[in-house]
Amino acid sequence: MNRLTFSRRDFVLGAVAGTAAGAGIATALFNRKPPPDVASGNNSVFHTDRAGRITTPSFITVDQARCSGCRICEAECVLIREKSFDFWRSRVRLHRFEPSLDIVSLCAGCADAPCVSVCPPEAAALSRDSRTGAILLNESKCIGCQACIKACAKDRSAVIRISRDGKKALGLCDLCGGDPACVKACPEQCLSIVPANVDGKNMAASPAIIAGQVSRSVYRSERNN
Amino acid sequence: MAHGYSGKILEVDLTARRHSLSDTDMKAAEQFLGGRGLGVKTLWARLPTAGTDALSPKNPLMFWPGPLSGLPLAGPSRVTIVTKAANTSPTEPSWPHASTLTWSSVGGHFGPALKQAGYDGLIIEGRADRPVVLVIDEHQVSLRDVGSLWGQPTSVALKQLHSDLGPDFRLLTIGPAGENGVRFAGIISDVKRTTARGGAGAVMGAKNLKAIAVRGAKTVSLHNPDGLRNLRSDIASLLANWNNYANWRRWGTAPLLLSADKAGMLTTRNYREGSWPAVDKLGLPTAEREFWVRHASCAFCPLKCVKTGQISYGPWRGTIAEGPGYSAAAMLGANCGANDFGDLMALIARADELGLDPIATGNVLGFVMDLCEQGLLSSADLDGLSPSWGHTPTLLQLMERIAKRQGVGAILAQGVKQAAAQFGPATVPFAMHVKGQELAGWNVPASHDFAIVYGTANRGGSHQDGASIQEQHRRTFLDALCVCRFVYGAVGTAPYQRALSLATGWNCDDATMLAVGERIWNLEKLFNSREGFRRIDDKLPARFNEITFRTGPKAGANFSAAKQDSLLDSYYDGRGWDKKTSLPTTEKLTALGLDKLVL
Repeated sequence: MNRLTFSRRDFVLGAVAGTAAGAGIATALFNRKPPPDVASGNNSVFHTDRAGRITTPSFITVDQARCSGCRICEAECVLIREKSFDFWRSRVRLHRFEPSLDIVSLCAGCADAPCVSVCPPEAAALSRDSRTGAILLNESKCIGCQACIKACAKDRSAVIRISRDGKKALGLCDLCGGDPACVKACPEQCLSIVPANVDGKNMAASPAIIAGQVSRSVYRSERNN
Repeated sequence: MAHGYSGKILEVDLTARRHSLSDTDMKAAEQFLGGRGLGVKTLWARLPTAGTDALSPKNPLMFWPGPLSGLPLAGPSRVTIVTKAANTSPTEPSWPHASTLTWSSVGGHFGPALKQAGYDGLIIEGRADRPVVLVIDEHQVSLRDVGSLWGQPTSVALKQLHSDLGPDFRLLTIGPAGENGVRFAGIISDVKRTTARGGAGAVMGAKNLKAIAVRGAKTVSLHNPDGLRNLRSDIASLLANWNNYANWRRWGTAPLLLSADKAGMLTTRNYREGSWPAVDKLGLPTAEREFWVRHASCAFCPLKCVKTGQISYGPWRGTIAEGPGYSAAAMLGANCGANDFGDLMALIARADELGLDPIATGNVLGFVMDLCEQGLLSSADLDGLSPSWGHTPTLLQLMERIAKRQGVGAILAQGVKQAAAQFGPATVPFAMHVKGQELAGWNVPASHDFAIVYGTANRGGSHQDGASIQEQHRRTFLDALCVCRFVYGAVGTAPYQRALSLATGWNCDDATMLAVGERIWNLEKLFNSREGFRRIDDKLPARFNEITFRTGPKAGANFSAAKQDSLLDSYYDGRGWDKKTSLPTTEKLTALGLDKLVL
């Protein structure tokens, strides 16, 4: 398949530069192709290995202004990660706003993780992956109490939802174990993996709040409308 | 349950404020697939006699996804609306409300959402006693009063509905034009695309239905899910390797303005010329430099043809609009004599806000300005307005009057054919329509193929329906699957024939594909024949026989009456239709399995 028109390295570098990760920025900006030993994953700036797999705690962030709303990421999540066509199980959700904006919601692995902190100790179904930083849901432990769903809906983007049968939570993103399918498939390249030294919770607001902010930057002079 | 279909059709009776489910007729589905196909089949069954008033409660307004809708493939992102047309009529009507059927499709996310909500189709009948919104949240179906949304422009309705219902609902809405029964009113989707042709917006307005909202995440059983998963990647590769891929993503259909101008196929000042000196001011590069702020996609497609921008200068600075797509730019631009990009976008924005078909609106406005120039209309006939080529403020005022059916707007809201009948016989030759459907943004003298496209399209003067019999069948097949013309242009029909086989388990070789197309096309023709349409209704306006292009690269091009007749003769021959009447022969109908349907 020849559909990826960008290299993994390009967007990792872009993400690093864009999120001001510190000392590595100069290397990232001026040295587009770092030597292999630098990109091998031990340097904190390069949080993925050469194959693009996440090696340090990270999350997926969205350049919302650039999203075209094609839903290919949403489809990718169910097709590749879930090996199914069941869109209910997609971790990625698209929202439409007027004037024209498409806003993506997906789990940002918030540092304070309100979902994890409310998961009842007797269930302890949620935990953090120490390598990727993703919040993992152990479905066999989940008792379907919906505490995490309410916590996410109250303070964040409400990506955690209940399964069709009402028994399990779903929507938490495990970053495909370190190689997220949605990021690779986005034709706009507006999804990127960023290291968790930027707190994901800042990206995890409700879609309506994000839309309001993005709209003000995309549509600059509505006053004459 | 058959694969690829949910097996259920949602039926809404607005008069009784009730909804129910009916089973998808799977025998019919194998013959007609979905979309335009099942739509036409169902319309034929629901309207057993001719002459139903399109704006009466009896006319079903139907929204059809297809067997591929909701699957994550680039292409089948459209929904096809099928109903009896509000704007067409035969040359010699035998009863007052004779009209063609119409189908009109719109891209975006509504079709996939309707299928994912669990429905193979949505059939709306009756008339609500007060304006309502139909909300479909999978199995939960409700009607809500629209209150103050009635009368509001489409962007206000979309914004309000998204905020009331949630931004994950997918929407279709009408504007004031549809509410007021403008015969060329369209239905606007939440990505600001219009189901423009045939007046479906007027049918929706006559039902007191302001909008439809749908949400769903259901799946249907599939014959070969793994095969579909692979096919999805194959289609993505084919698209990415299409030599126009980068251009298309960047510019959409805007470059067609420049190429149509070069080919003498543009529609300038009511079709009198095929090129327009100011064409480079209407599309590229101005759109990209001064206007576009973001691009939007239809479901699961990377082409992002939906271009949204904000006018950055002049009197309409700040106005947000979608486009310019080719058709709207040709009709509201060149055909109205526009020579400024901001002017064009102001006209397009207004058409979208009022819920008008931008193609027909450009045609109607061009017609009015032509009549003024010929001295056949004056400001006394036009509520004191004096429209002249390219004078946007007057055109905007006329559009408002049309949408609200005020003053002369009430006459123009009937479309050029009826308006000319009212303005007097001298004005009739200037009405550029076929079967009462306003012609679109492709001119004829330098491209005679369009005599067949416009002339034989079963919904009247449409530019979308194909210039040869085989092409008509291919496109009809794709319309039955709700596949987009642009993706088809990039990857052909083969991926969708394969997708249909993988989804349903049905064989779909070329012969099957063409047979499906021919069956649908002939059933549409039968519907129109029953309403009284004949050979004379397949002819282009006689004015094309008199126009000779005077300017541009194709100066001297014309289209003779003799050419018109010979094109139709060979077309009917090729179809196995009677040359004199244009009616399908009994042998043809028997061969297509339509004879039983007719009896």
